[in-house]
Amino acid sequence: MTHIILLAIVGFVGGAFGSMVGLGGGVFIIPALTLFLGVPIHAAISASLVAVVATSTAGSIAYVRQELTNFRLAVSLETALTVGALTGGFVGAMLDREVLSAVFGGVMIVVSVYMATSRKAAPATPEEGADLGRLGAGYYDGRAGHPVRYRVHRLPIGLVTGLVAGNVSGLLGVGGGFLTVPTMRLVMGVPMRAAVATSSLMLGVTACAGAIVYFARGLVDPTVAVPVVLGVTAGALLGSRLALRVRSSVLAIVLSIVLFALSVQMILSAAGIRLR
Amino acid sequence: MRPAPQETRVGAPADPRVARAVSRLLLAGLLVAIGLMLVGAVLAAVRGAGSVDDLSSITRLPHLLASFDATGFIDLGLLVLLATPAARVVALLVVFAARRQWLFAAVSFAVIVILAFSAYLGLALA
Repeated sequence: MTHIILLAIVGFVGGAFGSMVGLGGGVFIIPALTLFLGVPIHAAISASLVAVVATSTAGSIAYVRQELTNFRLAVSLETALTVGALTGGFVGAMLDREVLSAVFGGVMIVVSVYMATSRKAAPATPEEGADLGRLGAGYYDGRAGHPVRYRVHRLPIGLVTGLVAGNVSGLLGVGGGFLTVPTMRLVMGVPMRAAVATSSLMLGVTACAGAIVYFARGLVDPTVAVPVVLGVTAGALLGSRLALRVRSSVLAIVLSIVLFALSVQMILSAAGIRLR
Repeated sequence: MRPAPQETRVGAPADPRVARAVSRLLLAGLLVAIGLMLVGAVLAAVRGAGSVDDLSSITRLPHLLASFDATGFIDLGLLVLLATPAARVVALLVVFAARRQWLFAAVSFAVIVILAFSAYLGLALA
């Protein structure tokens, strides 16, 4: 029973933080499951993929209702994300634990450094009535108290990044939001709140493409996945609502510190060095 | 007061009705999935340790559900959860098609095809 509660707590923390910053929570859930709860890496990855779908679904309920989500941009990037996830899902089922742990640790270091250092200024808002293009959109920023409008730039770069993010998602059981959020924000000119909301929606489809493969192959352990999913759902419902009130930059720094520490442990674990 | 949604060049406003409908779809899928998983968890608790299989099995799902097995309800809940994002893409496909935004309707269709292909490959390897 204690093990089930701990699994749910891991899910809750991953879902809450993940939904607040546009991630699926997998970057927290997988190392927590493998390093602290002794869950085998493949069971952790499959549980994480299902949990990412739950984070995306629960988190997007609030973001979509607030009209922060850009549907046209989401489906455009989802084509690349799902192709990448599909190929990653098959490769992931064939790799061994050490390789996966090393790759995951390396990716997480990049994520944590990005989250701690990213401070790019907000893109300029087009004038009232200006052409926003096929993918441009607008929303009302409740915290700032004014409407925000934006164009979307450099879609090809977004698609290439989506392909990589989808592949990493299927390979490692994460959502890929750590690549799509910074790309949308820093390269494509999408405001932070819209990038978080759009990424949150996309993660569900991306993780779904990989999770279906794991599920159909009988690689999802319900005794691990269900407690994590229940915890993630509660966390994401809370996190997505808090995100509309709390400065996400503060949370991003806290999360980056935690992720950096966990990534070091994952790499050491892959090298056969256990700290506990 | 909250301003009206922003129009884009192709006349596709951030329609509050579409946003509400998609939001409700996600909520419904999530609630059904969580409900099925909880039913499975309660059944497992009643029947004691070892009543939940270690691994999911899509091929045995109908048999497990027919025998009121805890694993069957949990697996069905997981399947409903995985199907919810796909249902959302289908809903957006319908919205884009109704608005004659054929490019985005085609893109949505492509995503559905990829997801279906993913499921087919997974089943073929099961």
